Amino acid sequence: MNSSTAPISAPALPWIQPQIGIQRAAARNGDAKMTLEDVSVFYGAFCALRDVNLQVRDRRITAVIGPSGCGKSTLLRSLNRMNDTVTGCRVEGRLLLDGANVYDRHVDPVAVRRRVGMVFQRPNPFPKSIYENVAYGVRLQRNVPKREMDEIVERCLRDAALWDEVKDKLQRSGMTLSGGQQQRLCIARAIAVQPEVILMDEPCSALDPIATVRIEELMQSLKRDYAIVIVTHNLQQASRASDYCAMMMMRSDRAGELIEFGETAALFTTPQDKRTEDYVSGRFG
Amino acid sequence: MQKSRSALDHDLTQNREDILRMGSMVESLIHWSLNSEGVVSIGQVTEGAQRGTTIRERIEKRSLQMLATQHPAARDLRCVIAAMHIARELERSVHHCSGIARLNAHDEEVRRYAILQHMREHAMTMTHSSMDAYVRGDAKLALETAARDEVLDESRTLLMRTMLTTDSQPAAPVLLRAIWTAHNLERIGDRVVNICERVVFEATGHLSDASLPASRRWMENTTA
Repeated sequence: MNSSTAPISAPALPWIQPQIGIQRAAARNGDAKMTLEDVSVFYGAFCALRDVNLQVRDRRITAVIGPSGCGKSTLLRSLNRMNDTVTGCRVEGRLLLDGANVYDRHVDPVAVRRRVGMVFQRPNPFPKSIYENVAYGVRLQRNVPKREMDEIVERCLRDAALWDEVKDKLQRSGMTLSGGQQQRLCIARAIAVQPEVILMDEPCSALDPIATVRIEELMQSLKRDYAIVIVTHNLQQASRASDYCAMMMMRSDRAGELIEFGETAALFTTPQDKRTEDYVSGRFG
Repeated sequence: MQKSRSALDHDLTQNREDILRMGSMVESLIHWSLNSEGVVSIGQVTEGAQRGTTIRERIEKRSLQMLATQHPAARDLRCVIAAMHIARELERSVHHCSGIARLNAHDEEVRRYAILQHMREHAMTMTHSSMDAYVRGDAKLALETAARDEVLDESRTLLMRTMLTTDSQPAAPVLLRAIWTAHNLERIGDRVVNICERVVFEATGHLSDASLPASRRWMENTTA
């Protein structure tokens, strides 16, 4: 399904009014939040991802690992239709969020991204104040009184474990923060719009070990409320921070495929696929 | 990464060689601790025990370094964990051999009991077989070896029953030495069972009590 053919939303569909509170109350820990059924992604004629079947569980951290070029980021970006911005990108199969197909022709990609937030490899705060960075997305959604917005900003910064460090300088530019703080600011910005799933594309690759630990601790606290999917090249990070792990590999036709999925502890101690065994043991290259 | 991988391979090989060194030492000590033609001296026993502890400590130290610096995963991780456990079991076996040798260093009478010689041979065979299974990563052989422990258990029971009920009961010191010797040999068998469990764990990732028939059946089905 080409992104350019997707029309702007239809009012009757749940994407506009997702009723987050109601849906989340009904969900149980570990239930499938997102389900991928035979998902393939094409860039023009090139198949970057082939026949991926996967469940992203609610309130769990799912790590996606694999060598460069195996389609990890493509998979991640397809979860919230970020690939729609790539010319010629086409997605086949079904990608369900709470049972509804994200790529349905009536679904508004912006509404999808509101429910499925994303944190990128490099911290990318807006060139605005710390306060505005968090408030910006909320303000786009609805008009919020100043007092309520103050509460939202404080709650999000607290949830992102950044409040104590920035509470006295909320009007300073977000660009003045350190790399680790900027990444946590981006996480605060992502959760401000109350997503249900947070996607993280190598969120710690540009951070030092201390900032990395803080992000990993933050992920552990965030998973109480969100499903998290993280792409990482750091196997140690995947093994210590995630609950489930998806191992991807490039096929001979250069398409990425999912070769193993399971609980992280099992995948790192008793992998079922020889290629996973070799990869997590460092027998590659 | 290649450098790390080769360093990890090197350390894993070193661990494996040390385990085999210990296994060979245990076999040798079992043989000499109850040899009817003469046992090792107390000095040799003590030296053997110290050597066993030294090798075990070396394995643990190397394993700790591997865990801290190489972050082994999958089978590598199981190899490291299994090596630490197996080294501990072999060290305890060395101590059991020391016990046997100390009991019989100055007395030939106990060494003449055929059932104890049979137990000695059996413990040696089991130890050797467990090391074979370890080297080959052979879960099936490990399970077969663990199953042989029943012979030692039954032999010890038979020895005690025979010695305590016979009309020509030996003197109390001889009786006690024989029972303690049998006990030590039986415990060596238990250590071999533990080693075999770790061999199965290393080969398959499954960890279960190999001494229980139900577990054994389950593992046999899993590793078939």
